[in-house]
Amino acid sequence: MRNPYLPDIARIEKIIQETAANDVKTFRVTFVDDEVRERFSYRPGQFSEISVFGVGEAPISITSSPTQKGYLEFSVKKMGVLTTALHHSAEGDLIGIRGPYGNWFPVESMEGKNLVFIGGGIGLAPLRSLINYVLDDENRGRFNDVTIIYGARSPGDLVFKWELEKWEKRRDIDFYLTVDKGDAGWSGREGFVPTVLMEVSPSPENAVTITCGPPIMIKFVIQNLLKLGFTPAQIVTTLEMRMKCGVGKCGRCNIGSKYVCKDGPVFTYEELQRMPQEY
Amino acid sequence: MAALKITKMALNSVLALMSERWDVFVPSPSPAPGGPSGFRLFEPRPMPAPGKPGPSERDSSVNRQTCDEDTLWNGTGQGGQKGRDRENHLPEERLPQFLRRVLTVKPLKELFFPRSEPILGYCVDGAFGGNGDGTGVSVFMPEGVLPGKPRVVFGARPCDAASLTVLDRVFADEAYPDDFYISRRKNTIIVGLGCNVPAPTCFCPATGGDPFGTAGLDVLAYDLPALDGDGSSQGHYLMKAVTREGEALLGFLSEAHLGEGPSESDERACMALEERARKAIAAGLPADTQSLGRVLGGIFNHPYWATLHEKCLGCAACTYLCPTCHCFDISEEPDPGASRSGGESPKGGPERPRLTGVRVRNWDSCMFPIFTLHTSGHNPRPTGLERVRQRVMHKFYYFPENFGAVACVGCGRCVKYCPVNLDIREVISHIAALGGTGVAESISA
Ligand SMILES: Cc1cc2nc3c(=O)[nH]c(=O)nc-3n(C[C@H](O)[C@H](O)[C@H](O)COP(=O)(O)OP(=O)(O)OC[C@H]3O[C@@H](n4cnc5c(N)ncnc54)[C@H](O)[C@@H]3O)c2cc1C
Ligand code: SF4
Ligand code: SF4
Ligand code: FES
Repeated sequence: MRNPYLPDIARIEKIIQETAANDVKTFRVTFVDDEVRERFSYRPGQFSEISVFGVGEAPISITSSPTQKGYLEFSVKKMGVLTTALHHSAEGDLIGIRGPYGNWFPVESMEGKNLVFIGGGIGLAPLRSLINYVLDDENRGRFNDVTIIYGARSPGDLVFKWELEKWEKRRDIDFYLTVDKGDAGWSGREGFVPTVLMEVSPSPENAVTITCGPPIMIKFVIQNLLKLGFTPAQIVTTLEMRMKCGVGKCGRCNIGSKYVCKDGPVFTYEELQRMPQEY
Repeated sequence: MAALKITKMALNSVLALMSERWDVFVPSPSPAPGGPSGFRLFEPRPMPAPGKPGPSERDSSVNRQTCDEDTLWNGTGQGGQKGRDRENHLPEERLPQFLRRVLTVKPLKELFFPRSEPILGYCVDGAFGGNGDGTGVSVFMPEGVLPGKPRVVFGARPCDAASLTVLDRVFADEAYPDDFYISRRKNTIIVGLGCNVPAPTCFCPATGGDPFGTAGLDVLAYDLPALDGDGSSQGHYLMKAVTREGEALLGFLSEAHLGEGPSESDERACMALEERARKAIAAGLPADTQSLGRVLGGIFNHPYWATLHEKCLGCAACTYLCPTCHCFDISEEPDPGASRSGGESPKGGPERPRLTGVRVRNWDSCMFPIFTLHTSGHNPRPTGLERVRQRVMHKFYYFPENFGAVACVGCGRCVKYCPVNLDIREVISHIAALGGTGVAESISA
């Protein structure tokens, strides 16, 4: 019986509080069944449907990188019913996971290129999978310069702070951290991500840019990238639509003839331009 | 056996014989003028006990007025045992009359993709996240979901059968095959009934169909009227096999001597029926839908959608009753007594009961605003305009682009049951005309 809706059971190993308001938590999970752990292979950019039994499911990006073996990580913002229930769970609890679903970042075509990551808020979650993939010792040599621009509304809203520190220290990354507005303890950069992008002004030459964040940020980031001379094909982003099945059957996540759960969530801006503006 | 002719009087015996080997489904009769409501399991009438009056000897006319549709036929509805009794009041010669009505209200898809079905069951022990040691949560297939006995559907219309070839593309794809649907498809033989007199709302030829089309069918039956001077007979069904499974079914029936091979004049009668039906339906067809995608690709922002959606109530009758609509929702149905949502982690808290429940998929509709509503409040299809456009675009543009077929079989249900008479045939013709005037090109440019 092939039941595409049947999740595998995974155990929450670790929960990390990410934001000051505690509205984002990262969950490190492992499959209970060894065989599933072996079988579950994914690429940066893909997502899973996460179950809390008795509550429901939600699509969540896999934020860990396939180079991190043995576990998966998901960063979840408390939004509605499922995400709240997940926030209420404890280490050791069991959840359901099915996937991986969707397409992935075009890693092969990024080889030998300069990569510019532009993230806002929890939008860093899907980018982080690719960043850590690229930064892995085995892979770093396949890619050229890496630039990361990441920002959030306030210092308290920055996610993965425990990892940002490591990225800041690395000498093979140009890392720009910014907040819309700092607080007393903040000595870093202030300014909106699209503005910082113009200051950094990365060259489109032999480059690919990957962006994810709040819709309004993505909009201005894309405008500015075009100003900097990036072509629509050089701009990669990920989309969200309401989802249920994750496998192209329940019919709700389409934009034109593309299903975000199957044909996405990763699209180039060139592809988006060919799709109806209905997302 | 390639073809078999049975008398209509023998239909009940034929269905009863098939019931020994298959679960047999027939259009369920409804006393209401709207016609049969859906497909129901046929249960052969028990033989009357000696000395007691047989069911057909009772006065059926009285009961026909008091029976509701659920209990009238073989008691699978709310009526329970009472319904079972009443079923016997249905005089067997009525079935051919029901079959003559063109379409059931609910589409055939319900037998393959039910309105509501559990897709998994779960059991969570101890604290709601399991026992804390990696045990205590199990997920399993709910019992009794998949059909055990193979099935025969008798009396499906060609448009409904064709709709299954549309649904196959969604549920039987290579990437994520859905065995809930596939297993039902595989174990069901479909005997179709050609449409001698298509309904005024039928337009299957505009979607590539035909009143005697065989797509999706294993057997096609012809309703041959009684000949003059053949007073006692209601006529015959001439069944022609389309697939091997269909041949086997007819072979099974002919072994029981329930029919005979067709004569040459029967063949001529079939051809005459086909010609007459095609001629009848050809008057009043909308534009052909198979090249509509070319126009739709260019009119996403056309002002037509703003006027079109105005009278739509968003009731979704059109999509629930559509045989090709496949959208669904997945929802959680925990058994009562234990609900986790909103509660704090039960770790260390008082012992709570074990949580069991099922996850269910239900028909859903793109005509509802909540269908695409994000938790943030953002909605990519916020008004009727986007939703009506989605329905039309999906059927005639997106689906053909993805699967090479239009997702409409011209059954006319959405025409017949729309409370405000939003007629898809008019929509089709209007859009085709937009293409003819070159509007499509100018808008997309
Ligand atoms: C491909 C993809 C990746 C995502 N990755 C992340 C991530 O890494 N971290 C994160 O915090 N959030 C992510 N989201 C958004 C997250 O799925 C929603 O916040 C979540 O579904 C809300 O569910 P809920 O039960 O808490 O809210 P409710 O409003 O109570 O949910 C009801 C139902 O609505 C649907 N739904 C509502 N909003 C959305 C939405 N924006 N996207 C998809 N489905 C929705 C879900 O089916 C859900 O079951 C992602 C969404 C998509 C499509
Ligand atoms: S769109 Fe209307 S006419 Fe076409 S198959 Fe669906 S219900 Fe029938
Ligand atoms: S049946 Fe008619 S009114 Fe109801 S949603 Fe469909 S088009 Fe709108
Ligand atoms: S989530 Fe069901 S079709 Fe994409």
